[in-house]
Amino acid sequence: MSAFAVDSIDDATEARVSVAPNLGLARRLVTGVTQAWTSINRAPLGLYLAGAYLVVVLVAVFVPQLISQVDPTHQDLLQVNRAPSAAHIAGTDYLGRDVFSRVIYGARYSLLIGLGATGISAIVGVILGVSAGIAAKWVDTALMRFVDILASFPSILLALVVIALIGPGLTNLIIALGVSHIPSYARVVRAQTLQVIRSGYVEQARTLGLTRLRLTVRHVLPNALGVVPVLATIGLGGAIIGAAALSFIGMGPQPPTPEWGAILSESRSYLRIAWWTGIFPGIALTLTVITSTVLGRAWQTAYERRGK
Amino acid sequence: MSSIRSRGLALALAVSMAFGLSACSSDDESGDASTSAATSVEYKDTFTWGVETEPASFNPFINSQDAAGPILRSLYDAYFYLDGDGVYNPWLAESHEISADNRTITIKIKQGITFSDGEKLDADAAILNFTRTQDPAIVESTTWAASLASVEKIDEYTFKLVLKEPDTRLLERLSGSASAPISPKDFNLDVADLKLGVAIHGTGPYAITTYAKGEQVVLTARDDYNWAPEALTGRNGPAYTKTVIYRFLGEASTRSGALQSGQVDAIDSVPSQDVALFVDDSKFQYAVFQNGGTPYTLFFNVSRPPFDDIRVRQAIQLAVDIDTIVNAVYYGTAQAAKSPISSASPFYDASVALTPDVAKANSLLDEAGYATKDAEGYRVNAAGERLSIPIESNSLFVRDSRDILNQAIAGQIKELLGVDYTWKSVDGGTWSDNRANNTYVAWDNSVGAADVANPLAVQYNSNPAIGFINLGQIHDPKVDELLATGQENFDFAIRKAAYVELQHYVLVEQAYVLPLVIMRHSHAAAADATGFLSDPARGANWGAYNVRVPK
Repeated sequence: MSAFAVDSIDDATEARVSVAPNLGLARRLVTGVTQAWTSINRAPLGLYLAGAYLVVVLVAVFVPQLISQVDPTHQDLLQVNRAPSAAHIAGTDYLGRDVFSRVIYGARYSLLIGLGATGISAIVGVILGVSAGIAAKWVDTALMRFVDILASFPSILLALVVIALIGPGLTNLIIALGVSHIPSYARVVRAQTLQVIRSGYVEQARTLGLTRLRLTVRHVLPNALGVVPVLATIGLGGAIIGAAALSFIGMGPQPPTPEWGAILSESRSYLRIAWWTGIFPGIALTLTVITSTVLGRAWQTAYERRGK
Repeated sequence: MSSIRSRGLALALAVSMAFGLSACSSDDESGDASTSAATSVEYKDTFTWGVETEPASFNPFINSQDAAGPILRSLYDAYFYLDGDGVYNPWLAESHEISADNRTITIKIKQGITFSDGEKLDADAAILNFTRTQDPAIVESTTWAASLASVEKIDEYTFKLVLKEPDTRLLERLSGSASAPISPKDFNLDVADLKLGVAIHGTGPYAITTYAKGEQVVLTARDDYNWAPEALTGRNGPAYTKTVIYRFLGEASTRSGALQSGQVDAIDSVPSQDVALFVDDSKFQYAVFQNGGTPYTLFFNVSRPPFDDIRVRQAIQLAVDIDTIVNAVYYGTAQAAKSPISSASPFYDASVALTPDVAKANSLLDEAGYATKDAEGYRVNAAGERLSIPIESNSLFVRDSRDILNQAIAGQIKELLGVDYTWKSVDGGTWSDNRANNTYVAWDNSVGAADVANPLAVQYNSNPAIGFINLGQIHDPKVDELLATGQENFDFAIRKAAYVELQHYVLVEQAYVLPLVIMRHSHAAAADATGFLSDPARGANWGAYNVRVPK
């Protein structure tokens, strides 16, 4: 791919060039959401249930005390491993902590890790993908070989390697998971970028002398990134699962943090005598991932319809 | 000749539950092969254990994991064994004699003993072992040998240990795996192999045939073994079961499941929450032995804040309701520790126990300058610095629900005192760095032993060559003096007086430590498995020598 012309043009010229296909990032997002909402209106019951569950999760994330007023780290050593009852609707764990409260407060950590990791993957992936798409061939080759190397590791293994280098903990877990999912974003965004810059309107803008920066920011990015929110929504579920998996083996938040994977890990020795300590966080985790996937697929469908 | 009369070690509190009395050699394990022939019982050639702890090393000089004891006992023999009456009985030794001034121990070795590579055990082999195991390149610290002046050969099977000063620790060490002799040829191995220990040869009834790290170690019985301590084992000759497999099942529920499903014949470190599964089921047996030595204890690092302030140490001691915590974490299957010495030891003094007093604990922290709290409810000093106590444990030694125990303590201290007290397990490398840089605030440890002299020395002596795990950084002349009294006197009454005073001084007056739980060895097995011997003085499983299970 050759470099763009760098001559400047006036805003009027640029405006004429950008009229048809470029709606602007914000406008495109609004359109996407609107179309998704239209799809939702025609959606099956599952999508409504997913939406309802999403609302519950969001409440649990931002105002968990609306759902449970019990401190998730409060121990009652005289009430360990109690079965679900009126006092503890999901029972208590091996330290007498309220399982329901830990699951509710755990949503914040699991979602934070999932969103944080997805954000890192998406941002770095977009930077790499767009850079590879618009830069000189040797830069493209170098960047994509780097991405290939990252992609050659299973994502969970790559995350483990990163944690081995920087240590366990909440922040490091987010970074590790984020790094491990970069390749999928980078590859998709590069493909989208190449598609955009070969389109007629970009060719026209280039011949009119837009700077590479302006062409990228005003025309390539908005048109190439439409797929990223869709990918991110679907990928969020994978990131949450990955976070739970790494927390399960002790690489995530440390006790007594009520992160879902950590709770599942803590419960595994007690499943014979206190099944509820593992079942409820497992259900929460599963429903969250399903919700993320269902909503992501719906958005993807809407996005693809828009393209047609 | 004198012996250390650790009479009370009969108090090893071999608390046997359910069928655990088999551990006391109840049936045909004390008989001979003809017994089984007469009853026409056929036994399996292989016995499989599911064990929690994989030995970090199979070298008896190096391994310091109490939980690895039964495996090492199957591979290595000692010169003596200490019985429940506190008497040292001969094993590899035919006899021993201690001089009147307690400075010379003469040991005569039984003839005909060989290592598993065919080399014979004689005075030269024994002396080579004593000499080479004091080489820091092989063994980083042999505190028990610090009082050893020389080792002299008397004849082919007799040698003499000359001590700088009387030391009660020596015979105790000579009855454990840590000073068990290995083949002279093994000292020609490169240091890495010597330290791993898979390739070395002991005089025990078994030898290692295969080892898969993280998976299992397979031991094969020696056909020529004929020097078992008969008074304990009830017989002599080769081990009953030809092949013993120790499968490393660190996951508690996996161990229990493996036994329930018949994948293994026995498990050790029975998870407390699963004990009832085996006690209540006639298809299984369960036994537990309280360990001697020192309990699982939190040693405050007194060399740096915040535990350089005795008021903070006392506050933590008084806030923790260890009885409630231990009962909750171990489901009533363990004893809370109340002293720096295990309650299974004859030197234990019950009067030393502290009573929780949360109000006093809070006022002590107020006095220590942490009178106010920050927005998150944690205590801070006048400069606004939070009182943070981040406890880190070496993951190699996190076993038997110690993680849960520490979490419970952290939760209680945080809630009752408003102290930012946290706990986490860290890998061995991180822990070593913390130790080297003195960046830890406390450390947790237990030392199982038949006698308390050595455990106390390694944990409390201010001389780093002796107190090599004195990571509480206790440099206190009075502690050293009391340790010396208990160590150098062979009179039980004098020792008891010294150790009683030590317990009060260390726990109450100086608040150096927080005793947590008495360590124990437990096992569960198929009901028809037999031959589970206990080490009467240490309070531990003996090894695989008599163990077998019918086909």
